[in-house]
Amino acid sequence: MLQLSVISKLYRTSEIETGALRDVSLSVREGEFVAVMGPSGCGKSTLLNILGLLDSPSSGSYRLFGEEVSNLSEAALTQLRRQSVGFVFQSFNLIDDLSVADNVEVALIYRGVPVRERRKRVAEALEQVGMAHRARHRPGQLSGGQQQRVAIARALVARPKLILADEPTGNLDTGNGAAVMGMLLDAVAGGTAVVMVTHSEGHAAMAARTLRMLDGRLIGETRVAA
Amino acid sequence: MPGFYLKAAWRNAARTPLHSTLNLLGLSLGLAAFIMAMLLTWDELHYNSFFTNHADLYLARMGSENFGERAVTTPEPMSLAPQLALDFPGVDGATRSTGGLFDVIRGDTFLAEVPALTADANFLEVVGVPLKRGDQHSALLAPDSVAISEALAMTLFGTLDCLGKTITLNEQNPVAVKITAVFTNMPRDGLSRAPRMILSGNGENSAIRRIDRLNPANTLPPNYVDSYLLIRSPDVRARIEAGLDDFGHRHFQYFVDSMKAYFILMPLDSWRLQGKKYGDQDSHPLIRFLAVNAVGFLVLAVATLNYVNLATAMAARRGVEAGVRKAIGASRRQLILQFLAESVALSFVATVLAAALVELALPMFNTLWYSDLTFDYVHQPILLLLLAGLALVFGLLAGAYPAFVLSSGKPAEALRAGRLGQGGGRLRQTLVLLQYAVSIGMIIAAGVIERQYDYAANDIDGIDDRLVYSVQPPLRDNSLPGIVASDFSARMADLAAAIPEVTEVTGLTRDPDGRTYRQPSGVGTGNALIRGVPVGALFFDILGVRPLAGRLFDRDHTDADSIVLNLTASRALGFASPEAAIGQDVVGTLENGDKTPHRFTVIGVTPDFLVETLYGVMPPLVYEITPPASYSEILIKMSGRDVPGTVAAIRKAFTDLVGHRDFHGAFLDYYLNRRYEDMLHDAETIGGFSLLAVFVAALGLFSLAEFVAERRTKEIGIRKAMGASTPQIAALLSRDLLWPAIAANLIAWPLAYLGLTWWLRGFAYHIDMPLWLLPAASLLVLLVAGLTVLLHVIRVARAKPATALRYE
Repeated sequence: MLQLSVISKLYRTSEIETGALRDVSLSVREGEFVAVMGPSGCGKSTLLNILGLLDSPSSGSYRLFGEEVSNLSEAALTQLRRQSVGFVFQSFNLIDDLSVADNVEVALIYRGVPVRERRKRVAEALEQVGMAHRARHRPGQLSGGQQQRVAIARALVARPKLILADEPTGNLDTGNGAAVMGMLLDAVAGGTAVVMVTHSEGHAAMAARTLRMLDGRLIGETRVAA
Repeated sequence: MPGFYLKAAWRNAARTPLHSTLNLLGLSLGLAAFIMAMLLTWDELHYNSFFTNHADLYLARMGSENFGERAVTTPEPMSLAPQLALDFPGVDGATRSTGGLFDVIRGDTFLAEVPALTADANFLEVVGVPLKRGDQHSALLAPDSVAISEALAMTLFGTLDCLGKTITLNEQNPVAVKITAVFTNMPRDGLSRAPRMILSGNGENSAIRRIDRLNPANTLPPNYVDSYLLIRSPDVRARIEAGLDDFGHRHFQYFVDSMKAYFILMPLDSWRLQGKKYGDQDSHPLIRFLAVNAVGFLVLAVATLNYVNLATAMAARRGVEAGVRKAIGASRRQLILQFLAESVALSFVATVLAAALVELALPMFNTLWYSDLTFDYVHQPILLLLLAGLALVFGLLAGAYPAFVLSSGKPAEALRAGRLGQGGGRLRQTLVLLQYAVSIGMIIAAGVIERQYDYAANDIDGIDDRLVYSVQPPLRDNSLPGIVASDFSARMADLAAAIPEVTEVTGLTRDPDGRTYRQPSGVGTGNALIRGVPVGALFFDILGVRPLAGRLFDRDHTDADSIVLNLTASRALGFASPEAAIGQDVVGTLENGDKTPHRFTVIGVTPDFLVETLYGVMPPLVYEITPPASYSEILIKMSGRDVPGTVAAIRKAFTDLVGHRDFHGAFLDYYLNRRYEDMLHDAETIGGFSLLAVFVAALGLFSLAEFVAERRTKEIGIRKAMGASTPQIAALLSRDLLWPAIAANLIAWPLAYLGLTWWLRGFAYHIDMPLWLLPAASLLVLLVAGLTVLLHVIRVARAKPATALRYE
C-alpha cells in the first residue's frame, strides 16, 4: 500500500542541520498494523507526519497507493490525504470551540459528504467509541480518555485506508489505553492499515510488527507471529 | 511593588515588540485626535476670552424682519451704543469700533498693510484689551494716538518700547499718528478679525467722528460698526432687554418703519454658537461645531475599542501566566493591580506620544485651517492635568476587562492554554464591528460633505466664472482722505480693456448702500430691504447668465432707470411669474441722501445665482446699472490664450496706475470658493479624521489578525490533517476576521443616512443623499480590512500542518 525508499528529512536552523530522518525505507501493506518505537527525538513523529502527507521529505521517494507523492502539489496532497488518511494524536487535538459531534463532523465536511449522511456517520462513529451520550459536550468538558475516543471516532468516520496514531495511549491511564487499543485493533480487523508510534512495549506487541528507531534511522524490526 | 508591576508590564510589551508598537501607535493617534478635538472645542468656547471683560460684554445689534424671518444685519446705527448708555443708567461702558485696512509708510517706503480698528477713546478700557505698554484709560484720548500690537511693534521697531514714536499712515495724504500703547497680540479668530492697530476715534476725520457729525437724527444708513456695551449687573441687563422695543421707537423710528427694525443685546460669550438664535446668519452654526468636534471623539472611540480589543487578545494569551501566578500565590487583587498597572502605564506613554504628535501637527493644522490653536501646557498647566486624567481614565477603562476576567478564572482552568472561552471572542468581534461601523460612517460623512461642498462651490452659483479675473482697488479704507478708488476703477477698466487677450471688462459694487424696493401698488412685502447690486453693462454677459424672462443689460441697454431682478426678488416683490414682472414699474428709494422715491422698470429676471451665505436662504437682489467709476470690483474676461501673460499684463496695469501696493486680484472662482471655505474645512477635517480612524482601525485589525491566527494555529493544523485545503482555511480565517466589517453596515448605514440627511436639510441648496456612497464606503473599508488580514491569512493557511500541530 505504501513504500518509503531512502527517505531523509533535514531541519535547518541558522546554525545547524539536524537529520530527523536518515535513509528510512519501509513498506506497509493494506490492513497491516505496524508499531514504531524509539526514544524521544528519534524521528518517530516526523516519520508519521511524512506518511500522513502533513510534511514532505527532504529527499527520497514515497509511493502511496502506487503514486509518487513527493512531486505532488499542495492541492493534490490535500486531496490524497482526504481520501486515505486518518490521524490520532497523543494530545487528542480536538478543536476546543467545537462540540464533540462537530469535531467528528469536520473530517467529513472537508470530504464533501452530504449533510444527511454526515449526521448518520457521525452518530455511528460516536456510538462505535461509546461517546454518543457526549455528542453535545465541548472537548474541555471531557476526560483525556473520552477525548481520545472522540479523536478516534473522528479518524474512523471518514473510513480511511490508513490510520496514523502518534502515541494514542501516551496520555491515558491503563484502562483507557486498553480501550483505545481495542478500537484500533477493530479498525485493523476491518481492513484499515494502522501505523502507531508508542512507548509501550505492551501496546506495540499488539501490532503485527514493530519498527525500532534511533537517531532518525530504522535499526530493527520485530515481527509477531500472527 | 509598583516597580514590580511596571517591570512586568515592560517585559510583556518587549516580548511582542511589533504588537506593542502598533498598539501604542494606534492609541497615540486616537488620543492625538481627541486632544485636537479638545483644543478645537476649547478654542470655540474661549475665542473671545482674550478680552478681559468678555463675560460682561454685549453686542448691541439691530436686526430687520424680511419675509417673516428675523435676521441681524451687520450694519447698525452709529449712535446705538452711546444712546443705550444714555437711556439706561447702570451701563458700565459703551464703545464702538469700525474696521479698515491701513498702509503704514515711512518716508517713501511702504512698510505694511495693516488691519486696524478705529475706535472710541474708551475702547481699550471697556472691552478690556490687555496692554503690554501704556494705559487703557488714556491711550486713545488724543486724536492722533494709536495703539499697536506686539507683533507690529516688533516689525516696525524691533522692540515693545516704542511709546511716543510716530508712524505715518497712507500714501496719498499721509497722516502721522503717535503710538501710545502696545497691546497683546489678538487671536486671529477673535471677534474683530485680529486688528494690529487701534486708532483713536477722537480725530476730526476719523470714521466714527465723521458719521457722528453727519448723523444727528439717526436716519443715516447703518454703517459697519461694532457697538459694545459693558453691563456688569444682571438687573440692568434685564431692564435694557425689557425696554429695547420702546427704545427703538424713541430713537430709531425711521428704521422701524422702513425695515421693521428690532434691537437686541447679544452676549459676547454665546454669540459664536448661539448667534443664530438671535438671527445672526454669520455666526458659526452649532451644527458645524458639533460635526467637527464629534469626529475627533469618534477617532478616539475607534482607538479605545482597538486598545481594549488588543488588551483582551493579549490577556487571553496570558491566561497561562495568570494561572501560574495564582498557583504560586498571587491574590486576585494583585493580579488585577498588575494588569491595570500595565494598561495605565501604556496609556501614559501613549498620551505623552500623542502630546508630541499634536505639537508636531499643530503648525500644519493651523496653516491649513486658518486657525489659531495653541497647545500651551506651560502657561495652562490645567492642560497637563487634563492629559494625566485622560491617560488614567483611559488606562483603567481599557485595562478593566482583561484584568477582571483574567483574575477571576480558577488557576486550573486558566492553566489550560489560551482558553478565555467564547465570551472573550464575542466581545472582541463586537468591538471590531463597532470600529468598522464608526469608520464606515465617517467615510460616508466625509464623502457627503465633500460632495455638498463641490455642489455649492461649482454648481449652485449658476454662473460661468471660468477665465473671469477679479481686481479690487488697493484702498478699502474710507476713513482717511486721499481715496483713489473712484479714479482707480474707471482707469483700471480702461487699461484692462486694452490688453490683447482681454475680451470684455465689467464690474460690480459689492456692499453698496441699501435701496428699498417695492411695487408702486404696495403689493408684495413692500417694506423689505431688498439689496441693490450695481453692476456694469456686461456683467451678465461675462458671467454667462441667461434671462428667465425679458432681457438683461448689455452694451445697448444701459438705461439707468432699468433694473433686473433675480427670481427671489421677483417673488418678494409679489410678481406671479418672471414674465409677469417684465415691463412693470418698481419703486426704489435711495437711502443715502435723496429720499424721493424713484420709478424703475423691470426689464428682465435672472435665475438665482448664489452670492450669499450657504446656510441662509437666497437673498432677493435687484441689479442696477452703474458706470465703471463706482465699481468696487473689476471683472476681466480673458480669451484663454496666454493666461499667465494676461494676468501679468493686468498686474502691470495695476502697478502703472497706483505704484507698488498690495495687489488684490484673483480668478473669480477663487473668490467665490472662499465663501465655502468653512465648509471645505469641515469636509477636510472630517475626511482627515476619518482616514485616521480607518488607519487606526487597520492597525488594530492587523494585530488582532495575528493574534487570531496564532490562537488558531493548532486548530488550523488539525483541520488540515482532517483534509482542509489551503483555500478552505484561508476562507475560514477571512470570514471570521471580515464578517464584522460586513455586519457593521447594519449599524453604520442607517445612522449615517439619518444623520447626514438631517445635516443636508440645514442647507438652503443641497444635494440629495448620494446613496451609492454607502456601499462605496463599506467596500473601501472591507478592502482595507482584507488587505490588512491577507498577510496573516496566507501565512497561516499555507503553513505545513506538521508545523501547526507541533504548536502547543
